[in-house]
Amino acid sequence: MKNIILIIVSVLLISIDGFAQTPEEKGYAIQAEVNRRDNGFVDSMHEAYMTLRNARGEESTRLFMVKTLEVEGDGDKEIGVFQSPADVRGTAVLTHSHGLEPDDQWLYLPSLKRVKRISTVNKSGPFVGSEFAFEDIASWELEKYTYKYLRDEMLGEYDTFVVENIPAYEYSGYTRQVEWIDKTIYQPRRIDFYDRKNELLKTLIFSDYELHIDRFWKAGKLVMTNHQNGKSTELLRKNYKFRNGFSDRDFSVDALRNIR
Amino acid sequence: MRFRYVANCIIATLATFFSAVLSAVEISGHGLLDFRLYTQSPSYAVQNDNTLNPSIMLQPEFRREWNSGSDRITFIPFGRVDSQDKNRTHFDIRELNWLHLGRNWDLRVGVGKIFWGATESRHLIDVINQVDLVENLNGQEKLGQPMVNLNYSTDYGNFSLFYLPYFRDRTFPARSGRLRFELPVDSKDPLFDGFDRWHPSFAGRWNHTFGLWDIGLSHFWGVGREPSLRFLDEGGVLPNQNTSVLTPFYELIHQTSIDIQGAVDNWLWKLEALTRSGQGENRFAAVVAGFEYTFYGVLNSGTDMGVMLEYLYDGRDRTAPPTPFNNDLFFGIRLNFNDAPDTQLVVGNTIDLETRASIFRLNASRRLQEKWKIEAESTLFLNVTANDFTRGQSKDILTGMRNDDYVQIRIIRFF
Repeated sequence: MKNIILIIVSVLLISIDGFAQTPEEKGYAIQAEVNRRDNGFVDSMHEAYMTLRNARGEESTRLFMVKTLEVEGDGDKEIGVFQSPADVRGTAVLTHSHGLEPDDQWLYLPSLKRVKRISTVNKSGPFVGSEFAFEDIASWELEKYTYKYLRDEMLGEYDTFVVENIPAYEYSGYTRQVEWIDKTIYQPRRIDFYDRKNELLKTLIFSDYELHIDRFWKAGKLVMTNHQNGKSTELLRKNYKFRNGFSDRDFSVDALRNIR
Repeated sequence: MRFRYVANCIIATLATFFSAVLSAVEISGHGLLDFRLYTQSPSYAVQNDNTLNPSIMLQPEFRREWNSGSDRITFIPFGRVDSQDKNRTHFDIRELNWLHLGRNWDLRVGVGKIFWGATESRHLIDVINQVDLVENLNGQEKLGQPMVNLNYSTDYGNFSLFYLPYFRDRTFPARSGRLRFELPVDSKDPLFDGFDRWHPSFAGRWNHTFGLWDIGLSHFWGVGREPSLRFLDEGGVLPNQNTSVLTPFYELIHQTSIDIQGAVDNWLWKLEALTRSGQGENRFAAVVAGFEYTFYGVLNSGTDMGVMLEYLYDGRDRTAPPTPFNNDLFFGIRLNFNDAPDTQLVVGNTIDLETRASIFRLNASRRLQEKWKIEAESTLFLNVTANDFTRGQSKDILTGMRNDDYVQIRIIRFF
């Protein structure tokens, strides 16, 4: 039902583009359409290959498996399990996201068989030493930002909407983000992140989009470049599988103890 | 009795290897090299006085899955060879079990490891596995425990049942080893209060998440993992460092416990509490409760600093197994640098509010490369006084360790 309303709202808003629509309304309508097209995947899993590069070009890599469960009326549930580096193999992070409410998060330490609650206040902290902050890899929910349409722009070969996103959740490290959204597939092509002093901090480039089960576009490659420290992180997402029949129990605290 | 256990383990091991040969087994694990340096000579002349004590440990892990991951066999043998303490040279099967995952239940049969708990300074309620004390004084390292474990998830939480058919003896340092009590513990010849190692133990646990809080309630009924340590009078021979021993005495206990952890903004709240009967003259209660408050991105960097504070109380009497944590305060700091090599530093001090004796611990670690890691560890015993030992237990159980401050560098290779 929610989806149908969103469709009607976005079709209406987009079709009356230019008539009595504020930039905020238009920005929201564009992002609502992005959200609508991402919804309904039920569950998914993929492999994530992360390569960290520092300013001197030194590299280190991480490999982790990600499983996601779509939750009706709440944020998604997600489990990430590390395969490498070897010292963190089997370490898992479980997140139950709740939009604007604080998320629940647990860390599983396989050598001790211990499940620890972890604080989710740390939105702006680096994820495993990379240039991705926790808030950059968290599940995206429409209500987590307020939006403002800025302009239409050609980004290289892509015709895009440019939208400003302002975090509505607490503890964000950003004053705002500027996002280039591909008009054809309604997916991001680029996001610029502005720090708390409103200076350009990072740029995230999305590429290698692939269509899955005839419906869902997923970027196969994300490159985050930090303009202030010269470091970058490349994230490759491979072997997407949708609708694996995951249940709530697969994303419970107790399932963490059997994960690998 | 012990032979039967060992024989069963060997048969099971051979069976695992046989099935391993037939199909693909995933092999991983790690080995490590420790250099431990004691900063002072030991308290007693019979103890080994080497300054530098190298030690090696190997722990491979073998896993095989089938039924698209619904069935899994895990085999984790463990071995350490130590230059300084013959009891520290030891071998164990940490895990050798079959796990079956059902839709809303799972079953584990074999040797396994289970952790219960929430706090940092003491693992109070964690009772399923025996402590491998020679591995680490903090009680975090455990011996493999034979078990049948059924877990069942419902909307009202997770219910776990444990049948533990065999009891494992706690490990203790040898007479010549460091980090021991005032008299060495004769871990080869313990006493049992009218039962043997095949006396079964049982446990049940319920745990559930309520919003920001995780709560667990557990009951354990069987052989208490902590022994009381008795000096058996040898016909008027006074306790002496050359021949006298403390004999471990294991009793049947009932232990009911609760553990809670919660995350509220920057605060992590932690509680473990238990009540136990069967040891000492009366049922007693014990508690560890505290918090960890984290400052994120301190000093304009990606570094997180956690400040930990916990209070420890234990109401057991003098005839129960000894603990240094009767009325103590723990203060600690955790630094996560959140850098590419995952550099971490944890320091903590547990101080006895009555005697002012304290145990200071430092742990630091950093990844060197994809498969290498280096760790530094130190334990210091502060204000621990020498006892005027006559009969029975010492007043301060740490007194034998008062000169055993050490610094250790550990190099780990993963494979």
